[in-house]
Amino acid sequence: MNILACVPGELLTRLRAVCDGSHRVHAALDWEDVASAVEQHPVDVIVVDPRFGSPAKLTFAPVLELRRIYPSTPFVIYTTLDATTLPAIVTLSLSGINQLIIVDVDDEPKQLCAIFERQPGARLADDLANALAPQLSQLPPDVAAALERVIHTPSAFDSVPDLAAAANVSRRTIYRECERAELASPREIIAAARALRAYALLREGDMAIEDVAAALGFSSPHHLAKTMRWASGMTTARARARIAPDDFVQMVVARVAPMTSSSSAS
Amino acid sequence: MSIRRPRGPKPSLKHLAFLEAMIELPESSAKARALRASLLTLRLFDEWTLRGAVVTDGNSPMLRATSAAVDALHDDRDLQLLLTRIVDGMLTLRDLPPSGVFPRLAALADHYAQRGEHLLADDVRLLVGASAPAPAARESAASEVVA
Repeated sequence: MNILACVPGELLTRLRAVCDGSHRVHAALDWEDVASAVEQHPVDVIVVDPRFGSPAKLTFAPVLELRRIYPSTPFVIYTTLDATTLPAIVTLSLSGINQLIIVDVDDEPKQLCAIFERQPGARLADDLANALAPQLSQLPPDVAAALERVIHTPSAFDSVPDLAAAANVSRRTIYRECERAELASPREIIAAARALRAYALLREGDMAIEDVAAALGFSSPHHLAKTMRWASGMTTARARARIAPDDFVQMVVARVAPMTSSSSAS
Repeated sequence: MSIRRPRGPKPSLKHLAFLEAMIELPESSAKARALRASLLTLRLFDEWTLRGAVVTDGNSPMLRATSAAVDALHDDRDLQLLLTRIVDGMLTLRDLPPSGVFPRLAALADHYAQRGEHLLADDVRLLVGASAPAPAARESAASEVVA
């Protein structure tokens, strides 16, 4: 799992110690650096402390802006519980963040890992990236890194040109590279990553279909339903209710790496 | 049966009512200490229902912090007893099902309702949900706690 930490140094040290070996922790230098950090790394969870940047002057406006840009990425507040942080905690909660880790209360190593691992989509994104590792290893590093980012942070990409730009190649080249690695088209990979995150948000989170569609950049629930039907053969609501998480990942793998899927089935 | 989930309010932190109630209070006030102890106890219960006895092991920082906050309620013995009973219930049951603690949570909800803190009472009742015992059973649980 990939965690983007927007927290003061002391908490960053704790996160790194806890996640060492099990999850990757990417640190943002300050609020201005967060956007470029998301552009450089796959991010499954964003951990924020309102004291980040300036402990003397708490701020939550940058977090609200990040929530607007990456609405399908889970956010976790990691901070102290005191009079100075309470207003920020409440404001961030009202913006839709529903996970709080209280310093020195909830941050025992196993509990921290448990909290991160139950964030919607994080484990499924890991499973998909692992299943596609043979194909990703055949790609140029920049292209592989961009595809990995799509899988972990689908809301960071609107279209194939976004993906090509992230991979530092032309649109035509990224199509060719995917074909060479026996992957589906970049457009289908973006769709598959969105379908997987939508499934996770519906199954593991507590969002309505309309909100999930909006969070993932679908113009309407109808477009989400079309993508979900392409990925799973079912409507959004039925996929959520009837398909087990591991099976959904396998369905997505079958869509984006059909050769692998058919050879492993035979 | 419809499997389409109705569009509800945005997700938010559990026990937001307690956090909101704490905002305006001086940190050292008795009421802020009471709210903090209640909040930590409810969060301990949340985590216990998810992860079981590991959360209430003696070395758990979450248990230590909660117990310390409850112990500090010298000027609200009723609440201290109610919260202690909830924590003790988790320590005794160790693992799921959590329903054994429901009467004690219901007693806490009633405690807040009697003080006119209806948002806090409703927040606690959400934990108990449909499994809440009948009012008569709650009254007996409450009197058992205070006894």
